[in-house]
Amino acid sequence: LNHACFKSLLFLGAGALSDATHTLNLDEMGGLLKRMPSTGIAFLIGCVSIGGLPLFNGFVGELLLFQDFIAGSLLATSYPRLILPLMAGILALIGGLAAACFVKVFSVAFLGRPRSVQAESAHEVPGPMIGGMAVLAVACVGLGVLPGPVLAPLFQVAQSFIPGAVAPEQVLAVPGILAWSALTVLALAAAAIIAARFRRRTTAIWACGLPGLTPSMQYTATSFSKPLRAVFIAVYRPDRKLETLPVDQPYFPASISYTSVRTTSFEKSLYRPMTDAVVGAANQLRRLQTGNIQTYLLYIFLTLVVLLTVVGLQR
Amino acid sequence: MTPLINTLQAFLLILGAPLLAGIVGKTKARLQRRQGASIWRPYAEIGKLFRKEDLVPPSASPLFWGAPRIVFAATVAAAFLVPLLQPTALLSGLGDIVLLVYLLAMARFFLIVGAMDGGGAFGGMGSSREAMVSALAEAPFLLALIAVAIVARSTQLASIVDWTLRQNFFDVSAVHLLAFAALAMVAVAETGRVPVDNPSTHLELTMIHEAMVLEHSGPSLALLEWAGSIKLAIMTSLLIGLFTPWGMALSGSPAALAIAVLVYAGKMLVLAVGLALLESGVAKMRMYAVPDFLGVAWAASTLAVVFTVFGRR
Repeated sequence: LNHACFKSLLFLGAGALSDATHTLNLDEMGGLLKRMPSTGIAFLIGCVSIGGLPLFNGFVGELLLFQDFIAGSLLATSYPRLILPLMAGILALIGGLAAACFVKVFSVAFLGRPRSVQAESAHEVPGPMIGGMAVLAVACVGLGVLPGPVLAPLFQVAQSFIPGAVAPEQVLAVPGILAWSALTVLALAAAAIIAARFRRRTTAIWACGLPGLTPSMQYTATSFSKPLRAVFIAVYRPDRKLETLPVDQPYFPASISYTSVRTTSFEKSLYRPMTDAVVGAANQLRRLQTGNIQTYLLYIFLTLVVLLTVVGLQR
Repeated sequence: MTPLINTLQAFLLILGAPLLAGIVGKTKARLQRRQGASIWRPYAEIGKLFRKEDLVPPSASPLFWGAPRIVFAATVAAAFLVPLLQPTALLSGLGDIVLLVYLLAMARFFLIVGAMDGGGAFGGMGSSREAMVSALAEAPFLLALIAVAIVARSTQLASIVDWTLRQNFFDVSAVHLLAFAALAMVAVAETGRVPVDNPSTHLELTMIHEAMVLEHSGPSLALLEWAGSIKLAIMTSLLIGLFTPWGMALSGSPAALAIAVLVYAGKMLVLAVGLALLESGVAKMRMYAVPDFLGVAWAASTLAVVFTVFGRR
């Protein structure tokens, strides 16, 4: 349920983005929060939820999962006792990477300065699109702060599967602590905003004393994730090509071109063989399709014999 | 009595955090044979910044201005979860170890958002590096906490501390040693101290945290700096509370509390000096060596979790 809320919210947000900017390339967006504030806020809520941050619904699921993993350590058999807590570590890594990914998406698309003409002239999407996102965004926040009403029926479902199950206290304690911490964070943020209502002045950003800081100098989506890609280079294996012209003067190039193609190594080593195998098998199977009706009758007869044999052997 | 003490320890942590940063700075200066600024300097600096005005870039959205407030709020809420003087906390419930990790993650999320909104190159640079470090540091952080939680059979910080408090100091297990090592490494990475990040540099090649707060000024910067020092205090308090809580008040009597305050201050001082020694003795590592550093934390925390299975007592 949580997942449904924030995922559809994000998809709607992405749709609104492409509608407003006519591009799906993050590096051509930027500064959109000022131009389409409602979409931006809804998208931010979606990002925070999927990142599993507290006060939003993604965190509720994450918290329950962690509780499960830790509770797994109390089991009698040793394998799950060992594996389950370690799964928590993997979940944490995934959570961290998801948060890093979505902070990137949001920041590059909505913050900073517009990186292209389309982004600069983008307008807010029409009302119904905002409405759809708003409903989901409210659901995300509501489920995040007060998950109790949803958890209770879920628990009844669990009870119907495992008769006699008792609600673990961890699950029951979740709504309470979330509501309290939500209240605390909100109160503190409000206090900080009220207490720190100081003068504000709009000035240009510091550009090392040089004029002309252009939007293209901002970090792009690709450069943002560069460090993480470098860490996981074994997984990604990008094909990089750096061409410097003229070739004989590497330090005074007339033109430099750099291309980097990122097909993940999963795609190469995992998906490709699988698709190849399926396609190959299909080609082999095509030989069976002779188009001759007698052959087909033979197939049916053979299948029948095989089936009867199997049934007969099982008796 | 207990709620009062809980409030007291939360405010001790929040208001005392800049002092910790001041002590670390002073110790580092003395190690370099400098006189160094007063240990109260962070307070003066925060006060000065609060009296200044916020400078906002023309292209920035309201988030640029709002993000530091959210960062501060989330960090303070995390501080409410940490037990200092007695094994209870202001905000406490089952599963709050996860909540603590994710409140800090939330602070970081909005720190990155605020930095990216500046529209300059520095914010993005710092953000991108921070995103890498934090994405990798989150898992060992949680695993280390989980290892301790498994040993103490509770996911509530306060009861973990309570459990540890009742153990004999010399019974300390391999799980605790490994988890302590992992958590200490994560603490260094998360709070942007020397081997990972240099809090006092303004050189593009090296900075992470400083690059992110570069565009902020005035009260926003004050809140960010304060939140940063609270985070450091939270991490050190966690190290104290989870691994060496002895000396905490088990009863609410004034004498026990006074001892608890003194012992806590002493432990904090030891950790501050230790951190200063570390920062003076070690060079900042290359950015791409940070994953290796965190990899060691990963290994240590994973081993800690694995050992919980064998180290049944």
